Formats: sequence, C-alpha cells, structure tokens
Amino acid sequence: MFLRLANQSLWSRRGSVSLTFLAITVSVFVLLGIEKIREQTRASFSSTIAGTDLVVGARTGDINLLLYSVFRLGTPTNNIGWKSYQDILGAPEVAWAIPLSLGDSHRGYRVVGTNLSYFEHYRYGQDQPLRLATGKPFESTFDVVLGSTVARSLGYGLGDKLVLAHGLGQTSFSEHSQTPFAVSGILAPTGTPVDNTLHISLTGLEAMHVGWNEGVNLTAKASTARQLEDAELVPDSITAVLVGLNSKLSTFGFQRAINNYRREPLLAILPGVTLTQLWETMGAAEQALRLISVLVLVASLLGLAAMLLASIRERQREIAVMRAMGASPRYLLALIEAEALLITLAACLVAALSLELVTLLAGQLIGDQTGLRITPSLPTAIQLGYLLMILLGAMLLSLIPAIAAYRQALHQSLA
Amino acid sequence: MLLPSDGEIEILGKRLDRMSGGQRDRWRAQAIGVVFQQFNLIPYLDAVDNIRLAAHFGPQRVAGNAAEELLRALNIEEAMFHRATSQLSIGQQQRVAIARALVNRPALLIADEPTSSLDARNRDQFMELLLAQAQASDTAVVFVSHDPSLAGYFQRVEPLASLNRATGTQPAAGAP
Repeated sequence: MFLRLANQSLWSRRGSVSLTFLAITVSVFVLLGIEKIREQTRASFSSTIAGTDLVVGARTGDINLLLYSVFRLGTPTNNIGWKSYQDILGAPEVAWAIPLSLGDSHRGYRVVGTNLSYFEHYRYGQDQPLRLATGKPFESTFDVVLGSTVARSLGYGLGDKLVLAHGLGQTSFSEHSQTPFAVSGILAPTGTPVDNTLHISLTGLEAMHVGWNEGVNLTAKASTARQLEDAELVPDSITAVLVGLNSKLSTFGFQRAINNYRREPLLAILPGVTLTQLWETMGAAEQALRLISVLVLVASLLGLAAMLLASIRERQREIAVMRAMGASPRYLLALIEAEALLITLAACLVAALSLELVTLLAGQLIGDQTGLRITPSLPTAIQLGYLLMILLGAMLLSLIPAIAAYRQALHQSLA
Repeated sequence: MLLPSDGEIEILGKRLDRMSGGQRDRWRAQAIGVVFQQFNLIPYLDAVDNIRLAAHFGPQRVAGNAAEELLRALNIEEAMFHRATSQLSIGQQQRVAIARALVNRPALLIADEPTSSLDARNRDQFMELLLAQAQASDTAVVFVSHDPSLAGYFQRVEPLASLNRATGTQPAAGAP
C-alpha cells in the first residue's frame, strides 16, 4: 500500500515528476557514459599492442616513440639505420623484429612500410594475431594491405589502385603519382590503430621514393613503376622496430644493450610500461570530466528536492488528511523519501539501459568518427557503485522536503 | 490532535496525554474514524485505495476485501471502485468517506459538518447511510452540525455553547 500510495501520488503530478525524472536520467546517462568510455578506452588502449617486448626507435621521449610507432600519432623525430635493424634481428635474444617505416599517408591515413613479419608477429588485445578479412599480404613491390577502417571509409576493394602521398597531411601536394599501389588484402577489424593504417612493403616504400630527395620529386622523367618493380631496393633507414624476445627474462638486459648501442643513439621502451605512463598523463582530463558530470548530477538531484519541496505546499491538505487517518509524521517523511527514491531509481534504470542501447546502435558510428570502440556491457562494479551513490545522494537531498512534510504533519491540522 | 497543556484527557478509557506520539497515531487510526466537511479523500487514489489506505494505517486485521464490501453496502457501483475519487460525484464521495471512516470498525466516528453542503434529500440519504453503517460496525457517532433538523437522528444532542466552558467567553456564532 505504501509503494502504491507513493506511485499514485507521483502519477498524479506526472508533469513535474517526468521533467525531474528526465533531468536525472540525462545526468546519470552522462555520468555512466563517461565512466563507460573511460573504462573501454582504457581497455582498448592497453590492448593496442601485445606480444611485443620492446619498441626500438631513434632516441626521443618514451611516450613520443610509443605514439608514433604504435598509435601512428605525431611525427617521428628521427630514423634509425637499416644496419641497426639487422643487428637487432641478428641478436641471439631476439625471436622476431618487425621494421616500421613511417612518413607517408593516403588521404589522412598513415602508410607504414614493413615486411611480412608484421602479419606474422604483430599481436593485439589478448595476444590475437592480425587476420586478413580478404586477399593476402603484399607480395609484389606495389601491393598495399589496408586496415579495415581505411577500406570501409574510403570504399576500397581488392585490386583497387591508389596513390600515396608524401608527408602526413590530409591533403598533400606531393603525391607519388607515378607509382600507384594496388590493394592486395584487407585486414579484419582489430579496434586498434592498425585499422587506420595502410601497409606496404619496405621495398615498395623505397621504390616510391626513388628519385626523391628531401621530400621533393627531383627526377623530371620519373622512373616507371615497371623498372622499379624489378629493382632490388634496400632501405637506408627505418623509423622503428617492434621486437619480440625469446625469453621475457632477457627484456631488461636487451633493453640496456640497445640503449647503449655504439653505432647510433637508440631508445628501447617496454610498451606496457609506457602505455601506463601515457594513460596517467590523461588522468587529469578524466578527473575533470568526472567532476563535471558529478556536478551536473548534484544539480539534477537538487532539482528533485526542489520539486518535492514545492509539492509539499500543494499537499498540505493531503498530509493533514493522512494525519487524521492515523499516519505518523514518520510515515509521511518516508513517503516523500520513497517518492524521491522511485524517481531516482527509475531514472538510473532508464539511463543505464539507454546507454547500452545507444552503444549498441551507435557504437559503430562512434567508432568510425572517433576511433573509440564502445560496446554494450554489463555494468561494472564501479558503475554499480555510482548508481548506489546516486540513490544515496537522492535520499540525502530529499531529506529537505521529507523533513518539511514531517514538520507539517506535526504542526498542521485540518482547518 | 491537540493535547491539553494541563489536566488530563481520556477517550474510550484511554489516557491520551499519557501516550507517546506513535501510540496516539496508531490508537487514533484504529479507534476513531473521521468524516470531514469536505470529505477530504486523497484525490489521486481510487475509491478502493482510499479505504485501503485507512485500513493500512489501522490495525492489520482488516480483511482484504473489506473495502469492496463496504462500498457495495453503500450502493457504489463496481465501475466506480477504481476511478480516481476526484472524478466521483459529491454523493459518491460522501459514501466513500463513510466507508473510509468505518473500515477499521472504530469505536468512535467523528463527523464534522458533513451535511452542510447537501440539499435536504441528499442530506437525509447521507444520514441514513451513515447511521446504518455505524450501527453495523458497532460505532458510536459524534456528529457536529449547524442543522438543528438533524437532531432527530441522535439519542443525545448538546449545543456547543453549553459545552464550551474552557475559554470562559461564549462563542459568538456557536452551533445550536
């Protein structure tokens, strides 16, 4: 009967109740949404690269090296010599080494020059290998393998020809137009920066740059693709190396050996450690977002308290009648609290459900637009904790109208 | 419920001034039913729920279908049982108010000028229903009214002026 009374009472004021309900729903949605994005970003962030023990590049900041080698963000500061790569590959501790050469792009997507070891050894997530959705890895000099997002958003299929651009801009004025590449394969989606990458062979990368110097095409009569296809081209330098070791135990020793490499200054980082550092630098922004959403929530709960407080005035008679029927002042206090709790609980449920619904329906769109992969999930312990705190906060703030009802019940009688 | 600042107050053999607030609330719910001048039904509850709410505050021994039985005894059509009381006619509201006041089978029913807004025909009908139901549930009725023509319904009639000795001055416009 108690709940029925609270329900009916809310229903009789459904106009103001539903506005308050909406305000709380929106703010709970924002709070949960931010938490969900944080959790899932963190998860996809730390699953960007797996299985790689060391990332080696020219000497620069740890985070910078990680950003351009793994996340394909920012610009490489310097290259490392081909000889250094071969030395790393030849070291007894090393199981495999993937060369990466960066610096070109295609319509805003980065081009990575590498070799077939990339498709064999690159791991992401829970040690998952790369998988080709269609086609095969590059075989000839002018083959290109596309990440899934590149293929989908630019609409490329197997065999399509595309021209790569020099430099990293969205639009480039120096295109490698005399050396078009053909799509030989398209990778399955990974949810990592690999999706946004075009992969070509190191040979292709070299061939594309024959006759180029300092970023400018100097040969008036460019070499034809046919000539270049047969040439044995070896790169002078590459940008970074992903290294897998035979034994994890040798990680620190080999890292030290690379950092002390004689021939040129090199930097080796442990991707896991640097990922954590990078994540921590983003902590402040995360805290700020959370603070804002908590403030929005507090505002909406205050709105709830204000709405209930205003309703006490119009319920004077009703309160007096219930008193005459034998309701204790405490009963009326509990009634107001129950009404607050019902509204908040409903708002929490609707917010949580619609959040999952939105991620289910728009997750793909959000992923394409922002690179964030948000998927529906069961609420985590943190999210449940938030919901509990919201309910407690609602009860606490609703004490204001509830105590008003209580006092009214104590002092007022029917006229 | 106002308590005396001095002296004692006893109703149905209970010393109200010696009860705690909670005890008084419980006792009032089970021992006293009230029919108000404006009936004062909870507007957003339907007829049945209004009566059930009174039962809810009273002792828990009231049968589950007591509300419906009372309404039937008071000639309310079933179609009206679950309609919000704000949509009922005045006559129907009266009868729901009677049912609400009697559902806990109180020893005492206080009626505060419930007939003042009724015409003579409705008034008589109301009085008959009220007294018949009160009789059925063994309830004493204390009825306050301006209308001397109702005196015939009651065994004992007291003009308020003669009761109101506490203030020392006679009220200017007392009930007869």
